[in-house]
Amino acid sequence: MFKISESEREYLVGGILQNVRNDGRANLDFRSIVVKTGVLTQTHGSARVQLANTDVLVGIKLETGEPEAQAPHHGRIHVSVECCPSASPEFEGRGGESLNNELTLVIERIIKDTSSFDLSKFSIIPGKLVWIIYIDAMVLDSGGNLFDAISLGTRAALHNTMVPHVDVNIEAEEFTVSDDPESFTRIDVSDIPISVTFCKIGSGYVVDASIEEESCMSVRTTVGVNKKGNICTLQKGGHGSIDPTTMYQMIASAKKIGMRLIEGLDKTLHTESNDLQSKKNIGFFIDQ
Amino acid sequence: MAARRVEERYRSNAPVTTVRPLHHSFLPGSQATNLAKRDRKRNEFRQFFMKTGIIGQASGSAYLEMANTKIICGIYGPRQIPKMEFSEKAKLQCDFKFATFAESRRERRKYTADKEEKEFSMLMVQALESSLILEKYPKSVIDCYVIVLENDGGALNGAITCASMALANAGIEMYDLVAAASIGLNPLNGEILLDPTEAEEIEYKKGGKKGGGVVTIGFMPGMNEITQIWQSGQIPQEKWLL
Repeated sequence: MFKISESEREYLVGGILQNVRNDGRANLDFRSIVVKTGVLTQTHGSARVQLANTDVLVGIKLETGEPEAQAPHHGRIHVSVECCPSASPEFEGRGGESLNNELTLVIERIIKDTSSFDLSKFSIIPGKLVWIIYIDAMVLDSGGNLFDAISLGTRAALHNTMVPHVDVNIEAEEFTVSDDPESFTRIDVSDIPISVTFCKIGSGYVVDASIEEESCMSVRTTVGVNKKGNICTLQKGGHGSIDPTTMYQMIASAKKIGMRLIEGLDKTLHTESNDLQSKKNIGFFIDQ
Repeated sequence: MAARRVEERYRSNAPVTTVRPLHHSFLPGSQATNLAKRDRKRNEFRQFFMKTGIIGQASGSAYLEMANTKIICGIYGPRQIPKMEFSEKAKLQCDFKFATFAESRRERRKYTADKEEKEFSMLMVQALESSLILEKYPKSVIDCYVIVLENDGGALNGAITCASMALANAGIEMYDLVAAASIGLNPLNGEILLDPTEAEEIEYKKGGKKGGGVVTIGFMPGMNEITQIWQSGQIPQEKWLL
């Protein structure tokens, strides 16, 4: 567990009351976000998100398979989040299990439950064969606020995903997946929500907490927000309690912050997908 | 179309060729009838039945019934942490379990904990921990086992309420009881309804033009503090300001 000293904690809590945080931000400011798409060539879509020290890699793989019995005409989504043991020793072995599970379920709920994703477009032979979308997120480095980084990464990676064209012969129940890299369709991500996570520290609350701030929070609230400003999924974490007025304030500011984030993300994704040529990195981790 | 049986090791399984029939609620056209059947007002709870002290062996126990939803909870402890690690306050461990036969609208549950059960266990710990004075019990652990015998909606909020009663019954010192309730937003007309049944929960989560979703809130009435909040589905922000 990451721990800070009692005096550092007090300094941090005092600062939040004055609306100044250790890194100079105000309580409701995000750190600068770096999003890159198409970083993994072996996947159908990928993205990497950096929030100061937090570093998340999301890869999307598509496979064909049987649909679920409950939804025979819909594609399937499979989400998994893994915190690399290299990011923090506490992720090793079973230590990361509950965090992985929590992150996975929040992302899964944000994407699956909210009618944000038209899965009926992912049916190949109705009732027999559908696309299965595997969303795998990997936490390479943990500097706080994993929830938001992963949700931003997921949205960016889905935007980057190329679904190969499939030729189907319905009568013979045969299909061929095109291996031509030029024939593909994109996924409509406009309705997919992102999450905004608040941490209650002392009597105030902050958005996009750093790892130091997360170590002294009492309550964490993850709020999913979509483009229209609707609240999609809400999840409380941490072991404290919170009064209803603060809760309402958090939801209201989540809407504002979330809509602004989505707007910024969409703009970045748009420019990224338009100039594919200009991206030349020296190595995977180092920019030009 | 029917789901194939997945083999569970160490249990006697049905023959490999057997298939599970689909419940009628999966079939198209069955949703409308489910939603129309609500025979209570939108701000009305189902009939409650609560009783504490029903498990003789446990330090504390409770049973909760909300119409068809039936939940039983046993508290064991505070007892010494089995490992020798030191902690200044007690650790609360929750184990949320659906009985394999608990739900009629989906396939039979496995014996081992699935993702949802693991998540609910974690949500229960978060909901209950802040109501307990855990500093009073250093070096100890409190075990809380919840089994949902039958689920007709509201399994999580029922489990939290039931576990809080059982903790009180066990004589564990606490600031306040946690009462949990769930509400649903009807996607068809945008109405907010209290205490949705399972059929309603499934329908609301699918969503529609006006949103649709389910919210579970754990609340300490005496302290006026929210201990747990959990939402699935999409709800316009304006609805949060009522």
